Amino acid sequence: MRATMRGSDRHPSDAELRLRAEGEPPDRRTREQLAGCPERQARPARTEDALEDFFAVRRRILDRTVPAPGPARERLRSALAQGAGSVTRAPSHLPAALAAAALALAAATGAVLWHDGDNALARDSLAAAGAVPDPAMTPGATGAAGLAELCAPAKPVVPAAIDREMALRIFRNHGIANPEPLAYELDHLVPPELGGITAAENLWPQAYRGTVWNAHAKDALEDRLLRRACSGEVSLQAAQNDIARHWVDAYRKHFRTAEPLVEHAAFLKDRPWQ
Amino acid sequence: MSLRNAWFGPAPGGDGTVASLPIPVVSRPSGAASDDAAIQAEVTALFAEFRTPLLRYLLSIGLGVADSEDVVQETFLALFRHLRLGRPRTNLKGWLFRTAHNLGLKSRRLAGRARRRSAIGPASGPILDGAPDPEERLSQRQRYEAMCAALDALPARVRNCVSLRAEGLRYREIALVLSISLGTVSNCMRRAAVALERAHE
Repeated sequence: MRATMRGSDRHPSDAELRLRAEGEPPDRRTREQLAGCPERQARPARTEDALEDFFAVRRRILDRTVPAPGPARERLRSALAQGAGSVTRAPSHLPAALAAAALALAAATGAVLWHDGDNALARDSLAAAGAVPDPAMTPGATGAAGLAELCAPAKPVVPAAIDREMALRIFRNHGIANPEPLAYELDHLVPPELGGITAAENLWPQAYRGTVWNAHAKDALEDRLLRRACSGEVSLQAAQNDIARHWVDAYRKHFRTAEPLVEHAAFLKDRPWQ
Repeated sequence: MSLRNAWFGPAPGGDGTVASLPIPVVSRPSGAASDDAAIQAEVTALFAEFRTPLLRYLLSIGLGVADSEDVVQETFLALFRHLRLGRPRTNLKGWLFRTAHNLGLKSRRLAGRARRRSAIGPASGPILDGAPDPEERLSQRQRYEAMCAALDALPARVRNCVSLRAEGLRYREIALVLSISLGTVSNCMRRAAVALERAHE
């Protein structure tokens, strides 16, 4: 067989044959090899059977693991509805040049995500993912409690109850018509332990899933800020301001990390909404 | 408890109690709302088509079910931003798999789960349905586990190629997703096919 081939002293490799079967144009040498050795053209089909057999088994098993799409589809729709309008945001008080730079950065972030998913999601994408509240709806609100009251070990702070009607109104205001029980925490942006109050302006639905910046991470931050405030490392007002302005930035600042810590992935302080 | 209602932003009534944070203003051209609605509809349609293949792929590279769901959500939110910024729509399938692949690796590292896993998911997966009798079921399971073991002996790149191919990606798309050459994809598939063929013997 080798004697009949022209232009090369070897057979085309399996990898070359696979490319050809895939519809990729073979180079000149491979074309010559195949023309002189038709038996080789059929060779990938043999091993392809083993792959196809494996694909069928794999699909059969993994399909049984994949959850029903309904809840995930609703979660995405909700996040998209909340995210509409957040991608091209630019602070109104910035000069036009700075605003343009911010937009360019947002555009670059999108490109980088495609190029390298290791890059952190941008601030805008945090809003789009529902990780942080809309500051227009949930700016945060505090009461009169001071450090002496908040840090007293014998008197744990009990926030005012949120009745169902108020809860559903807050969900609706945030574009969630049918909240999935146990999937959200009706979160106090400034937690009661730090002097936050139960008012619509301090409440927002925070999902436990959908992003790594979820209710578990925020609960861990709340716990951390209370400890730091009570130990005098930060003032109560600074802690309140940090978490109200942008709790993800506050997490990064107070835990000195760019991403949520692994040990906070299942951290639970507040009860889920149901 | 008496409340002083110190707001961290403009009070709804505009009384300016504390108003310390500037609220970002959305600056968008007219017609953007209808554009958003069209993009949301497009993203939702793509979600219906590709959610399951993406989940299968993420499961196959070692993520758990919940983490895979989260990564898929992030992937489609990223797609929304991608389309909204007017970026190219060519080969969105490849774009989705590549973004999910990158976010999946990040999630896996974050969760400290970067251990080697089978290319088809947990080896202790469910026993196959449809087999005629227990003996046949056992035989199928043993064959399946043998195939898993054969692939586990190969580099992660080979397993990733196999998982992407199993989801119907062409060699050229796999090369794009994994940032490798077309020839490398072909070579990886050859190695996987040979290993699986031997596992059959």
